[in-house]
Amino acid sequence: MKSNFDNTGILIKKPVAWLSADSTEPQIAISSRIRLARNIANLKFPITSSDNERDYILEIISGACDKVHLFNEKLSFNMSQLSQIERKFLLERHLVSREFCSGNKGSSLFIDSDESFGLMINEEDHLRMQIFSPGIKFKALWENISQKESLLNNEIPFAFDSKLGFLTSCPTNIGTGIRVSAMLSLPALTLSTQINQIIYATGKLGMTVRGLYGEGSEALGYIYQLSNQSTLGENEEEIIGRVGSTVNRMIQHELDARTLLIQNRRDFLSDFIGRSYAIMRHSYLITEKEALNALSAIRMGLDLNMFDSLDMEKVNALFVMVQDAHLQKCLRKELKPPELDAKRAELIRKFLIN
Amino acid sequence: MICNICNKNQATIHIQEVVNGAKKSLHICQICADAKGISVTGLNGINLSELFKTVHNTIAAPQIAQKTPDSNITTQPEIIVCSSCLWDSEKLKKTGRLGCPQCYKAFSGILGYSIPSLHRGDFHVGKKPITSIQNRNDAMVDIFRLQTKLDNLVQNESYEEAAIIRDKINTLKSTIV
Ligand SMILES: [Zn+2]
Ligand SMILES: [Zn+2]
Repeated sequence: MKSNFDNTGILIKKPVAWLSADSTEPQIAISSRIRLARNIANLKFPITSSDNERDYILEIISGACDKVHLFNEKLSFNMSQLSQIERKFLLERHLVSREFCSGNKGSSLFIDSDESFGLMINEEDHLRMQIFSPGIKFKALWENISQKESLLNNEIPFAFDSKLGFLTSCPTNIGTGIRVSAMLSLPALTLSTQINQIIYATGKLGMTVRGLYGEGSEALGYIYQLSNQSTLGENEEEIIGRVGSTVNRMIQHELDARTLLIQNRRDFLSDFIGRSYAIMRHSYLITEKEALNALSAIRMGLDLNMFDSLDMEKVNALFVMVQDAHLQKCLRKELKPPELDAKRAELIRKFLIN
Repeated sequence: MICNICNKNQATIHIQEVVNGAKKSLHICQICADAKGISVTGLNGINLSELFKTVHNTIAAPQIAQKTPDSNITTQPEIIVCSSCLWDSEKLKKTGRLGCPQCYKAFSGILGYSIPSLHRGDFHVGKKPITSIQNRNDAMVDIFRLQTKLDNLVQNESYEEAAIIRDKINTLKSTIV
């Protein structure tokens, strides 16, 4: 097995799986993800397990993955052996949760090398399976992950109750154990301050809206993650259908907000996007938040055909590279602000000139 | 509820064990809990099944009877403990998490209220697991239990016994591959 360090080294040379520019539509719905939570029958959850017990859980799951050939090309990451920067690096690629970054013993990440599929082992539950795709492709993702779950279930008996469904460490995930989520870029709704109303309204529909890095994070770069709140009492297709229609509604709201901005406040909008570009071109110190927000504005400018010499692929690549851990991994150096902010500004300037 | 050990004081700690689907309860007062070394924050190191056995034997014996009128213990918040993983209702309230699959039975009283408000129903619909690999689960549970035992032995520096358990684990593992 390759070492952890090599594996993060492999990833940094590649674009992330969830951000892709192969579409001519406005890039509002960035990506979709489905996650399934499972636990091994009759064994304690990670929260009450000792280091050795968690290691045994890892051994069971790892063995089963190999036996059923769950991965095309498996890369593994032992979280307790990674540096803090490397853990943050995996978080920035949306491969792990914030909770998983605490790096408990026995916590391991397995992914396919194209980063479209992964397992978090010994997170809150024994097993968290995740599958990702650019754009909104919930149905295909569900078929795919359900197949993989059945494969593993041939080897591993899962904790299940006929009334409560799959049993999870947190009662908010019981039943289907499914979390269906979409990453949405909503700059116009944010600029026109309608976003809070919309978040409130989706809450009433049983949906949760979170920030860029998921649970407990703020909305950096005008990016939000929408997902289902409840997991029991509806089947997977019904949940997917509900998230899907809410996503469509939010995309429509964002498009409406953009149209209104263009009709009523065109100069304001152009000025906002133009200034964001100027900041990126001419800064010598720039924070992660400032860079992500500016890039998100530039992405909207691309949707509105404001730039000839820029393309979405380049902007998307920057969107990943300007994040703290990616930047430090790229420079092979641990840095703190203001040096980190200076290096970030330098990277962006060079990138936009070429 | 009167304490099952002294049959005298008001019980404040409630332990539930589910054996073959049948629920057994154990109610203990603070004084007896202290005497047996059971603390509110955890039951680590206590042999629960032994405790259950002693208590149920005592209850089965003929001298149950006579409820002595209340002692002057101050009433404490009632605590429920899951006998499989020793997680308790205080920790559940603090973290919002459960300790093992059996916790859902042990804490059903508390969860019965919260689950309907968290979800769009209280009955699972959707994918069900494959159930034909039960025998393999038994082996996993056995190994997991031995792992727990090994942890305790190493902690107490009983290295010779630990080595025996480690061998046992390895033999068991080789049988389930
Ligand atoms: Zn007593
Ligand atoms: Zn439990």
